[in-house]
Amino acid sequence: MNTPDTPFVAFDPEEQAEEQARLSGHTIEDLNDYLDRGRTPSDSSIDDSPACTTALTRLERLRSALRRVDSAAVDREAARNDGWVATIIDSIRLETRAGRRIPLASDSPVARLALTEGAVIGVLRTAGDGIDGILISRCRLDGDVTEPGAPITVRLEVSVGTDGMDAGESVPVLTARLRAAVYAVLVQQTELSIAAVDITVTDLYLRTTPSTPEGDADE
Amino acid sequence: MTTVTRLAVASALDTASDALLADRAADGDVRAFEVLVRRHGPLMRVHATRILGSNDETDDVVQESFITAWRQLPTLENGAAVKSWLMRICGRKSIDRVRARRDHADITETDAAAPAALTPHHVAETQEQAEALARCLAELPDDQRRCWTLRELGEYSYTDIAEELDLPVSTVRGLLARARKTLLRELEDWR
Amino acid sequence: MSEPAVAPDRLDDDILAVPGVDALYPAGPLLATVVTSVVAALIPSVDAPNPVVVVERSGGLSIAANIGVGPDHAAPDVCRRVHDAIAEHFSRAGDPVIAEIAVTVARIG
Repeated sequence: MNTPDTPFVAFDPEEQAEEQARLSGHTIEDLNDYLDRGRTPSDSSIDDSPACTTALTRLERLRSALRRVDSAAVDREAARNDGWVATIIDSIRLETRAGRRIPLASDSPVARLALTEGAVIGVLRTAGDGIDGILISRCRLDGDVTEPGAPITVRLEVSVGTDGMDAGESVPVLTARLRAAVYAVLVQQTELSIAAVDITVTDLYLRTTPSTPEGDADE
Repeated sequence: MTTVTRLAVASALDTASDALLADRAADGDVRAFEVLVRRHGPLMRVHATRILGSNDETDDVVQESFITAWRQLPTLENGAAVKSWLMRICGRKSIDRVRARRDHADITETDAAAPAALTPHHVAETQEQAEALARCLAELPDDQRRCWTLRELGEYSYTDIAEELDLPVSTVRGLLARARKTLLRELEDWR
Repeated sequence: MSEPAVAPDRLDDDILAVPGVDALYPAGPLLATVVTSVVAALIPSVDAPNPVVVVERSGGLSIAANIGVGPDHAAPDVCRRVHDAIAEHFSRAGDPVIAEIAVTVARIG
């Protein structure tokens, strides 16, 4: 029949006995758990009870209403323009990931020259970014970089954009291009002896066509 | 020329997966980290504000959370889980603040006084309803609101909430039940 | 003789004048830098005025500089030129005994 309006509202938070009496032996929390489980396995003592069905409907309404509340709150925070992102970025910029010290040769007996491992990884990442359709995710220098002349294997994990391939590209073409760019950078920017550049494609990503931003001011 | 390339990369990063961004940030890429801050920071701000009960310390908590995240990212094994990992850090920092305030006097059982429900005169409008519900949520007793946000935004299990707040699981369940009924009643008024 | 012979801020200028150098970062042992920046990150502070570290020990002066190298420059060459610029700076300034010149490239491009 028609679900009565009043009793549902009247649930007294303190009295579980009454709550269970009205909900065929269940509690609101039971019903909420049932929703969390996606109503499986189905429970006829809930599904066949009009009071429970009403309660489930209300709980679902509450969920969707709260989702709106939450996403409005998140949108408000995202729209903040008080520089909180910049403050965070400025504070972490001081903490570079230096990694190991990679020595550089010199004629001077007092010189102690080096690149940081972080600097090398950074410039390799930039090289990858210069190739359309490729994003380097991880970069590792395998081998003892602190020992001049030691053989080093550069291991790259990359993500390949699929519309790079729409343009008639293939994964091997893109990785070959990346390998060439990485070698060029290693030769120009380091004195490492490179044994190999290993590239693993870990992911294909779909590049969404950037929608025209409606007047969002940049920082 | 350089600018064009950088812009192109910025937009590729903007749509990149959490996993890729987390990996790059773990390797020291500040730009990838910035995308993560923009992507998940707003939710973290809401989370922190709800746990703290006001936004006075939100900036500090969220900033501290991201500094901790930046340092610990190399230890994160599954980059795809970076969002819930960030929410955990943020939840913990917020709770630490609350503890530091020594505000947990009534983290046990005391408050039965539910906030007075607003009785609207007019037909419920979604916007107004959302505002009323948001207010109702904000006005929940501190311990209820904290459990609620850890559960709903932080996606904690009951056991995790209990551990984080140092409460018995049964108490957590009870607090969530009371919060849920208060919110249901508020919604009921808008029918 | 505990005062370094030269004002270190002039040294900064000489280093920054080397083509390809586009930044000077606070120097010191890399590990120490990481540790202190933990504190620095929490306390809003102005950049240290003298990022180049000059220490006088019994064996002579030890100088340490951390640099950033701009795009389109070869970092190893820039690094060596910075070493030369530092050596030249001190030879002009009374030619004290130099124990070590440590130059580290912390960022490229």
